[in-house]
Amino acid sequence: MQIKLDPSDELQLYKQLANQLIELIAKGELKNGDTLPSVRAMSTDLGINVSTVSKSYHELEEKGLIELKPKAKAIIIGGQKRELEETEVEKVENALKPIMAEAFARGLEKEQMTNLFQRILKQWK
Amino acid sequence: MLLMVGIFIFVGILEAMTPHLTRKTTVFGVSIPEPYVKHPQLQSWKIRYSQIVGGIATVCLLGQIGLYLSAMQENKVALVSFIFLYVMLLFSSALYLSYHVKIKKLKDQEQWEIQIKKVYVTDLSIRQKDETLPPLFFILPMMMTFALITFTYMNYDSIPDVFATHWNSVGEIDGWTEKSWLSVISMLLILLTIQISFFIISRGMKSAKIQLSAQAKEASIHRELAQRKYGSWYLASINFSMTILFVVLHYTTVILKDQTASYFFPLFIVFNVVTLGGLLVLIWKFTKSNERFDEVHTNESAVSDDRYWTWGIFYCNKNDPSLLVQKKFGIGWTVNFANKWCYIMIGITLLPILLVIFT
Repeated sequence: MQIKLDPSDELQLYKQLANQLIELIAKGELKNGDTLPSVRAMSTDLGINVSTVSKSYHELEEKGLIELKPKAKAIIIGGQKRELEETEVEKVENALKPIMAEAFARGLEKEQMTNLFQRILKQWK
Repeated sequence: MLLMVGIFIFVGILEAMTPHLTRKTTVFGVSIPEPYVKHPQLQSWKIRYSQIVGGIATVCLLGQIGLYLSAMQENKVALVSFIFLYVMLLFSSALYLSYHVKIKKLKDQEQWEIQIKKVYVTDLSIRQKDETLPPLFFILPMMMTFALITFTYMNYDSIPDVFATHWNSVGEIDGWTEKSWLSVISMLLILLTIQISFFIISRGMKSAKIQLSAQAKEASIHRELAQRKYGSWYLASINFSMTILFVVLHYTTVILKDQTASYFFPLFIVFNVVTLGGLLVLIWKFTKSNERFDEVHTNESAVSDDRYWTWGIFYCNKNDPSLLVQKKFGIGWTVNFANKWCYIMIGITLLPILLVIFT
């Protein structure tokens, strides 16, 4: 379960870390109930600022993917199969729409887009 | 004589080997970007250092043997051998610094930092695989000390008015102390402060940075885990053997009132065997677990922490919350001077020395 952050990438470090953790949850490598390293340990091992890691963790908490507990523990709560609420589905749709619209506007065929979708989904089983 | 010659051989080999013991990505205290680890110049400088230091050590050793063959007085011999030892250490430190500067220059001239892609890397499961010993191993010896302090006070009345506190190298008493509430436990207090500092070191080792490399990932995981595990085992074994040594010495002299027990000297030898032999085992384990960087595919490299180091010796990093960090030259750990706990620890470590000097 490697984490690799690229400081030359335009995406901010905290965002990169959050994205990689989300992907690990989607792939099932991080399962419901798993514990993440503490903010302190994570920032020490990566060699980045404590506040950067903390920001990432808080974002994941807001998204409802991890639960932050006292003693600096972060526990995965995402990843399990459950019924999504209407508003949550709507959120995903709203986030996805502009990206798809942009691709469509730039000339991507609908069929290509479906294939792309399938390919990405396959990575997560 | 044998002891001194032994020390010379031991220190000489250790000093000559030092550049080969650190991780491949740090050479003479300078971080080497992963794509340049196999740079031929680095290897040849490492070998050169070993040759020079090995040469000086051999000369000192021969001089030392020559001293014993000459008709010099014994106390003068001791003085000259210490001068030899210091010359050896001084030379290797000076040589280290000169290579440190040379490599920094080479790194700048060939613009290594610019041609690589820096990344921050870690592994999420590595902290769970970490096998540094739990705090209990370092608390147990302290409890033994507390128990013995209590036991000593329970038997305070039966302790003689004057008791032995110092022995020479052949086990004869050459120091006596008068009985008081403090003096009867002074040896145990020294033991306790050492135990406390060992406890802090063990905690510091646990939270110290696990430095993975971007390219030889599996190998670096293996190296880090092995070094942390065996490092903490070594720390614990010194702690236990020292506790046994002090406890037996104290119990025999103060409680049993036997000042020259026949087992003092063998016990002391056993303690030295554990300390030095353990160090040899540790070095062997460290060398075996060092990663090799056989395949370097890309220009990626883990971000170096060079800017937080002075001469590759002193570490001061406010962003790093941990107390200890692995040394950049040689094996072992050093403190993070940006962490306020380090001053407390240094204080605790100096306390026994101050106690011995001023009491």
